[in-house]
Amino acid sequence: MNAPFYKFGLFGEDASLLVALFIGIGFGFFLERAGFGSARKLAAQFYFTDLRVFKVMFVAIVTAMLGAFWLSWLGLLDYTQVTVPSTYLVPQIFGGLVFGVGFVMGGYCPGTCCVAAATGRLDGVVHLFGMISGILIFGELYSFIEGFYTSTPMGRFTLPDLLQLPFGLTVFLVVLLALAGFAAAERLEKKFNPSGEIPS
Amino acid sequence: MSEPFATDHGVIVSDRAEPRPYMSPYLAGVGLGLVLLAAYVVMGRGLGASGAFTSFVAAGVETVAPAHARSNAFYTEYLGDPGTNPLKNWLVFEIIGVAIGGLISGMLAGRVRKEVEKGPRISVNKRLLFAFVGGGIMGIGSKLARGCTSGQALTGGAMLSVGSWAFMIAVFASAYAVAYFFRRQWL
Amino acid sequence: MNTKFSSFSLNQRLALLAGLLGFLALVAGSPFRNQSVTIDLKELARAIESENDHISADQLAEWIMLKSPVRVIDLRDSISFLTYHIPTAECMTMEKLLEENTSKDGKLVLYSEGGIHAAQAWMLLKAKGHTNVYTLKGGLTSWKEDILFPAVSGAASPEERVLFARRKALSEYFRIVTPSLQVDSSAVHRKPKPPVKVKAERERPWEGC
Repeated sequence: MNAPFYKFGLFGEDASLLVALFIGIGFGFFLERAGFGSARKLAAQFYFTDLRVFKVMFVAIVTAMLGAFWLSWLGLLDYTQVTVPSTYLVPQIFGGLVFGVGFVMGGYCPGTCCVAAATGRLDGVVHLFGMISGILIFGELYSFIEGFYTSTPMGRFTLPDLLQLPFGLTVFLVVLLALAGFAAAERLEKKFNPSGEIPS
Repeated sequence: MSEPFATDHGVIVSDRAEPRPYMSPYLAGVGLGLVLLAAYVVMGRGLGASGAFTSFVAAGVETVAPAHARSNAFYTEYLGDPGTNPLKNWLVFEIIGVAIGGLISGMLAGRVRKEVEKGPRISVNKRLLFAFVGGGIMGIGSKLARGCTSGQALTGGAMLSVGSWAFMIAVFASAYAVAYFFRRQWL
Repeated sequence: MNTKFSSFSLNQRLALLAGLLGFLALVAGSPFRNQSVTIDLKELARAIESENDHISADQLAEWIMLKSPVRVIDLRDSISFLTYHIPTAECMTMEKLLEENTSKDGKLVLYSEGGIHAAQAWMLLKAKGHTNVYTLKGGLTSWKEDILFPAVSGAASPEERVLFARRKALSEYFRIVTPSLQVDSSAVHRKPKPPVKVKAERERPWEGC
């Protein structure tokens, strides 16, 4: 097996930047295709009128998860060489709570505000600058936050570890969860937005 | 395609009278998932967004006040070794790609237009204020969580990282919780 | 059955596919089926002969003291680990070690009680493609003898005395780092897994998100 290609030395750092560009293009393309360049569409998730944020995210997660699992099983991908974000439980939960507030208020997330800005949405541009300011504030206050920021490190801690379940079973449960979620989402959308008139 | 919500059309750039409807969320999700998978296979890493902006901030601070930037552990992490360009960074190139990809998709579908996305019950200025402050809050949240929906929820989620799933659940929970207070902005 | 399937909408087909793949994943159990690797026997034999892969306890002690970017892996069981382990070491079974996401050129030092397990693990990691992995020559036994409790005989040569003086200084350092040689309870947080990997975070090629 020689994937992940970069980690097996198949190409160097400069080439990897080009790869980054192309992967980013694919990323941005599908974000816009999904309608995530529009804050109204994104925010609709939280008013139950259009649950595509949930749908897109979970389909993407399931696709990549199954893809990585099977490629690894087939011996085509070295699963251990794929970086798993480290877990810092408390700051991540707290950060998530804060992030959620910003999401509903601002209407975008860091990736989608780029797409919005690129397609002419002024609020996306403003959101982008707001984000930069927020990061700056964080950086300036870092010395006060550092302790909290680095608390509860758990390293590479995956759901199979947490639940003490076999990996394959966890994958299956995630798929089931997602499918159940989609069914529920369809039903909720019909209830809150029966005419299917969604902001575009 | 009916538009029950008012929009603030400015100068029309590449707009069709009837912009194409969006792709099915399920298909778009598969597309996104495949892009993420490609990143795993080619690079052994996932996607991201907030990290790129942090690189911009760190680079900016270093340009304006280099000593201050270097004495700050947070900025230093993003600045790398002295002499290296913090903007010559995977995420920075990726985020540029994101903008390009978004533009391409928008142009193909006739959805590029100068506009402020908002609901009918709020003024443009108030919306922009909320966008700015919301962006700021989100910036702080993403740094605390060491990522955002792209880096943590998608990338970490597909890799089944506990912290990423916890982050994702927290985002949805708090967003739903405060949605009521911002309803005038959207509905 | 055929007509029934073709009457499914696209979404339903996707859902079916996902469900099927998920179910098969359940059956498969783990994404690491047969991690087969191609081994260059000659190269491996050469590496073993050259003994470049062994490092002495002195060398390891120096690396740790200088905070050089190295991950020290303890391959014994967790009880032995808790009783005493080399400072900065992480406790791992061989399986967990193989599953670990370490970059292929990160510096790794493996040790066990005498060195056999470490040597076996070394072999597996080398086969997997790691380029910077070492075993502690003599294992924990030599660490204890040379670093923690160095001794010198009366009839020692001047070089041996110099070496002893150095070791004595190292042993002081490591005693301070591990005040009680009995139990280092800060090492492991919780019973099952995972071991604390905070130190290793800095060593990983930083990727952020």
